[in-house]
Amino acid sequence: MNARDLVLLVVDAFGGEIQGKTWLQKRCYFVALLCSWHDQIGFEAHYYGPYSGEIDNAAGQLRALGFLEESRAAFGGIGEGGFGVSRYDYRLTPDGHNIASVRKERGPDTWEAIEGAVRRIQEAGDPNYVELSIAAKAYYLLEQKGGPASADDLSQLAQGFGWQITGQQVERAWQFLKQLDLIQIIRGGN
Amino acid sequence: MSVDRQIRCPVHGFIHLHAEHADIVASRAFQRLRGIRQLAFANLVYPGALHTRFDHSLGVYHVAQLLGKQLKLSSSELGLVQLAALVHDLGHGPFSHVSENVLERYADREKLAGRIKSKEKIHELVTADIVLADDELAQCTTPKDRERVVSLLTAAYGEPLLRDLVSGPLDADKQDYLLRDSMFCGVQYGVFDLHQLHRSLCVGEQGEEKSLMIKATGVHALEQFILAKYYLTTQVYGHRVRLITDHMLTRAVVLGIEVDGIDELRALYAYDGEPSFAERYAEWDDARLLLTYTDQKFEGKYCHKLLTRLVRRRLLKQVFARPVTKEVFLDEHVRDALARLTGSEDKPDEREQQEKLRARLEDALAEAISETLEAEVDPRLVVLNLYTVKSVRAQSREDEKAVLVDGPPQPVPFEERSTLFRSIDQRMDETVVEVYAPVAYETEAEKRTLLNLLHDPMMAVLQDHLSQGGEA
Repeated sequence: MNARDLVLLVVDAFGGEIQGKTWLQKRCYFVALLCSWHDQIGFEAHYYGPYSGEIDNAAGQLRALGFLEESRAAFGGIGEGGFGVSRYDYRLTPDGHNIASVRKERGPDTWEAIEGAVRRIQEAGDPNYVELSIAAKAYYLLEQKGGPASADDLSQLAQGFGWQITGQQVERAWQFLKQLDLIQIIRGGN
Repeated sequence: MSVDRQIRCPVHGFIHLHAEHADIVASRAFQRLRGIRQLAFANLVYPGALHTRFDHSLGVYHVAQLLGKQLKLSSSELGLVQLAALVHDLGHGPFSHVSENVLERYADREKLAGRIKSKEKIHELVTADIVLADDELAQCTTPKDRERVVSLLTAAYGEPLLRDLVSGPLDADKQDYLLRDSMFCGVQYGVFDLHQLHRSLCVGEQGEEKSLMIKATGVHALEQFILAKYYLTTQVYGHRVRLITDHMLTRAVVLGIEVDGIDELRALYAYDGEPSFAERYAEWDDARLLLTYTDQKFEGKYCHKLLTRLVRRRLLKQVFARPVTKEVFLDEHVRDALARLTGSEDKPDEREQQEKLRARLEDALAEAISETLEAEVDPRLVVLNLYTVKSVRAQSREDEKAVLVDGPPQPVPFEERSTLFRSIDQRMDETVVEVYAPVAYETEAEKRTLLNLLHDPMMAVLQDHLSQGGEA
């Protein structure tokens, strides 16, 4: 899987539109994770959680090719949660939809895997970008640590990174990881 | 017993070489870098660009030393970073990055299964082999240090701060090559204020981890550094003639292996992880490759033909160049197929498919040129090149991560803090398709006439062959 196809198909699978660069990154991260492609996409530790420069570059290339539209809603500054509040929204163009259809037709297994991952994310509550970021960062760090952690641990972890996160948000992120069976995977030694 | 030395460097002044590192510099593996030019045949565009990986490696060592002192690294951390800086390019083959492309193409991936981690480059594995197994390096470094350096260079070492200094958006490597390449090319594009940039750096803490960040007051110093990188990339590394020379070199080796059937060349590039590979590889540099294959006994071979053209500066010429945009290529399938030819395919079977498509296109393009100019053009000397120019904003971060500006209240990405970069439109990424061919023109007017003449036939070939997404 390459980053360009992943972005194209993930945006398509989420209805042709994703609001915000962070949401795009984290949704791609979880889809790649659930499909076991995350190593191929080059996700690295980052202040706001796992981040892939390849995803960013792929979005840029898709825009230049006329397959993805980007619009920017600038709110300025940093929000209370510690996340940037200016937002880039991404929407597939008609040409982008056509190319996505070609990809689905030529790679039905890949598309099925992406659709399945997106369905699991949606069934697990389809968290907003803040909750998804917390879940992604938490999973990433837990995976590195290789040990179990409680919701309190996650809350402390978030505070250590300067994020003002509510207990409810942490609980939701925690539930999300549990519903995706990712925590089980860690305990299973993967 | 070695002693500390002062080495004069045209970029940095005196470089202080510690006694513990002097034996590394004296080793055969390091001295080989004197024979590998930093920018391959860039001297055909910029005559001064004759500097080598040897000079650069010493420069990176020096910059690492400055960075370590600025950031108050412990002596063991500094020693490790400097060692990594010194040996980071030992795996470079003849003509630097040209060898990287060829290594990727011919590596024996079946034999290497399990050894290549995702995104790891073959030349990095070659560097690791040399660092870990070279006899002379083994005499002047401990096994533990060599292991740690290899981990650091392959981005696996657990300390993000040290990794940032060796292979991150602000690493010592970039800081040296921007200044060095600018100086030797005789351009000012890559110049930035090294010392001000260093004064602007700090160690940021993210949870329990330390990493390299920029102080809030250092945003302008970083802007200058990123613009330097952007300009040098677009004006020097991406210079049309320099790209042609790189493609001619790569094509010379590929045709030498695949058409001329030169086993020695295949053995040089077919990396299999065996100790004999690194031993063989370490025997080659730019001069040996050129002298060997421009020798009379290879006359008539493609490898000889292309290398001789390079030596005599009879270069392929650009006969077509267009951006891959909707305005130029209305059919989205054509744009998509061209983008896929930029080499972003990861699966070997997909890569192979793309290579076949490229070969078919080059055959058709050669035929179109032959018909238009009424002159025979060898399709093996026609090169279809696709590349993407990243926006200046994208240049502000490496593939791995963004640069962070230290808080309070918390670090923020540089792009959000810089007024200049925040205002730059990200949609400036551009993919470009070019065709190079063995044609001749002398004047600008002749060039324009030729490009005009070939424009429609080249467009027709691309559209006809790619309108179904490049399917055969």
